[in-house]
Amino acid sequence: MENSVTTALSLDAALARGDAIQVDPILLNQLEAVVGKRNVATSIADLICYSHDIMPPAFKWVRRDDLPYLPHMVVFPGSTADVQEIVKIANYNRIPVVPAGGTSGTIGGILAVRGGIVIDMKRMNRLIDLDPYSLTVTVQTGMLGQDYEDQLNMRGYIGGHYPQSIRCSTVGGWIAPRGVGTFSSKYGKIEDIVQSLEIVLADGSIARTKNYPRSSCGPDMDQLFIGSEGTLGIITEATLRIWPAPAKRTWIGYGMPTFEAGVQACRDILASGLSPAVMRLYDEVEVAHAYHELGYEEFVGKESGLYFACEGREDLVDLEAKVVHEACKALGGIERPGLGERWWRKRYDTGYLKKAYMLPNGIGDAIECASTYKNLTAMHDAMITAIKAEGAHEVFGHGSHFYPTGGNLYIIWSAFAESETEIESTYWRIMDAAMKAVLSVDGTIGHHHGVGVNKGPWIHLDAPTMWPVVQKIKDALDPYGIMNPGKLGL
Amino acid sequence: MDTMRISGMRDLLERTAIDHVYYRSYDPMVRCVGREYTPNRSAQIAMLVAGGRLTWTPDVVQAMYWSFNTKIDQIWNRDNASEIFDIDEGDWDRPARADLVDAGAAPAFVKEIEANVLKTGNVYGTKDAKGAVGKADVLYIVDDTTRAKTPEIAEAMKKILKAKGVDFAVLAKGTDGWGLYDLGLWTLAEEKAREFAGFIKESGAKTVVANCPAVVYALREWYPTLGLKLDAKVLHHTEYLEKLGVTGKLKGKVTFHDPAYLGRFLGVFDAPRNVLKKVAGLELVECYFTREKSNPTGPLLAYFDQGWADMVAARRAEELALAAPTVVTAAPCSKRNLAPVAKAAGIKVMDIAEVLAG
Repeated sequence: MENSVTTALSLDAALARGDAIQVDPILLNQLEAVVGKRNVATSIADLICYSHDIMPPAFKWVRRDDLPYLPHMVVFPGSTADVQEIVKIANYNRIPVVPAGGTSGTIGGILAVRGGIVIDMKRMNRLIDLDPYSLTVTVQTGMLGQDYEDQLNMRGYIGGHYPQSIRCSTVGGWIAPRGVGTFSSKYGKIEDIVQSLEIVLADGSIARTKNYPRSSCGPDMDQLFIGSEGTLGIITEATLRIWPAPAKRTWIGYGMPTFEAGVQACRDILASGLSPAVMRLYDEVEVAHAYHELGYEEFVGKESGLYFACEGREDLVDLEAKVVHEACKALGGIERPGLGERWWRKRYDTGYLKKAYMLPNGIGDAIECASTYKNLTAMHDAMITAIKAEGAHEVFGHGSHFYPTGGNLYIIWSAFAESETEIESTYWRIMDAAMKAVLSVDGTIGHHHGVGVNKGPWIHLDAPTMWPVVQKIKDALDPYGIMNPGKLGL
Repeated sequence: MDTMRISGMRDLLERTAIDHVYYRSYDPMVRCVGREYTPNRSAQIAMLVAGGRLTWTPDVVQAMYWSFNTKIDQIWNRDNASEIFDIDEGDWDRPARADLVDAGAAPAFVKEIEANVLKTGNVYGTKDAKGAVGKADVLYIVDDTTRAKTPEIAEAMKKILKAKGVDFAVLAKGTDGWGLYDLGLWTLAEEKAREFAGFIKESGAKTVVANCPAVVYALREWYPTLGLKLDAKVLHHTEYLEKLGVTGKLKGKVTFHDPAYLGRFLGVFDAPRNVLKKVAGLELVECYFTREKSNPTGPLLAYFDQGWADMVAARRAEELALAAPTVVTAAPCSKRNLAPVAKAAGIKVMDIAEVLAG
């Protein structure tokens, strides 16, 4: 591979090299010796497959036939030992490695911004062990999310982690950006579900944590690597909590007089010690889509929509439902059946944003962030105001994950740039306004999508005193900076 | 470039390329082979060809054959409810394949099939029956995959038809053309379809029965688009056997694998189950992925990488083995694809005709 490997390979540059991408033959032979010839790819078609994830500007690159970040090669390891050897070779040659799972991330986490080797983990897709007594499962992290859930369901268990991306993400892709599932209030975020990890570090060594429920033996090293987005190491195996399949699920929907009343209802329910699996609060603009569909037109613009799923043991579900009804009614809520069931039916519909991408000069995003209850409504209002001020065509939002001390917000916007060439500057201008609005109310700029390249410019503002610490850890673990460079603001 | 079919498909290709790919967990190339070889990415590559950025080099050509076109992606992507993503990749990848064939860039496995058809009349290059098709009320089509790879299904079918006293003739030559169409050999496909329709008409049959659901699909759905009208009712053998009221004996638990063309293409899910329910001693157990969500066993015809095709079959065999030790299917390709991996999965694979023939 040429020395310019630390710069990205554009489509133009790739095409200039001819069909067979010229790579360093010694390096190629070394990698082929590890994973076999068929598991090293350098063709233009293979490189294009790893040219983007679903970060919004990437859709515009696709539409413009403009691919600025191709890797130089792709390898497909079949085992942790393969990953070790690949990383050792890359480290020796100072070549960037970019781990890839389902390529469904929204933050550009798989972009080979310095070129190099993409390591596609999806061949590592096996269930290694299921411990039905301890309720844990160990899998290779290239296992697809829905495959993981199906494997558990076939055996009478659930994973409790259902991100919207479950059908296009991997287990490793959940852990790497500290992801969340839609049933998080009951089952937790991925950092609550992971019990132990196996990680290949930049020097090719393996670090493993033990599978235990809790420990006091020093810092929780799992938590260092969860959310590290491949910048500190590559997670190759994970042991996760599982649950017996729930006996009952009940959906409850309410119209709340204000967004703030909805926030308070969530806070009150969780303060009671109960945890409905799903808690979703939509502002009066976003809930209008559901209200029109469900025949609640007369309340459009007058209410926020709040709905819940309670699941688990039948008697506990009934108790939880009782508490939910009491909390919502106490704050002026009116029952609006069907809201939750509608969301469940349409939970994979991404049409709104994709339609914006398909329109001339159109762009948009769904920005997720989090704060304590004290600031949640203020954060909603600040973001809406900031994004509107930047000329967005439409802005609305919802909270989809609530915890005892606070929750997240998803602020969804679409906008039209002056021209196709202005799209990216429009996008980044709106992102800047939104990020600063979050920080102005003491929120965190990311709740579960991660940082990648998408939020890198603001991560130092999010954690000004802690990010230098993260950088020191990065420098110690990856002195040559080969591990997914350009991500996490590192 | 301007004459390419895909040049006029920019919108369709773009929509596919920017799709959020909610089918990815069930796309065989992603799920079983572990590669990012999705219709979504092939559409992106096709766009680059249509736009003149790429040409039909061998790896670009191969990308047009990543999809088995089994409609499994479409079934799961349906949940991504927006109408702009309701896309059958066959709508653009088949034209793309036809374009690359026209450009003289067909891959080796396609060229081999083309040569076989030109030499022998069927896709496997095996020796075909000679002479005229017999005249009868019922014409039983023994398709080229059954003839070359699973002749035991034809034997079982003939045994059943004879036992039931059915007046039938056998068509065991030529090819229906659909597989050729799927691979991009459009001119040859249409030529062979016309010839095949001629064979069928020659029999004078009022009912045409085929044990290959892809053949049934071709005759029912594709031939009319070519202006080919058959004066006969076309049935898959499961539909015909149900109608005939055939019963049999088989002791133990079995599970049914829904072939893509029978289930997702033709919408036939109940006929095979109704037939199996009448088999004495047989307990039908549904597998986790069943009916329209039945995962594919592999490609309809040949494929550029047999190792990958076997990985797809092995994964399906594992799922089926969780349900029952005996797998009944109803397509020669399903049986052919599962056969090499059956032993490792600990399953026995039978066509429904073999179950009934005893």
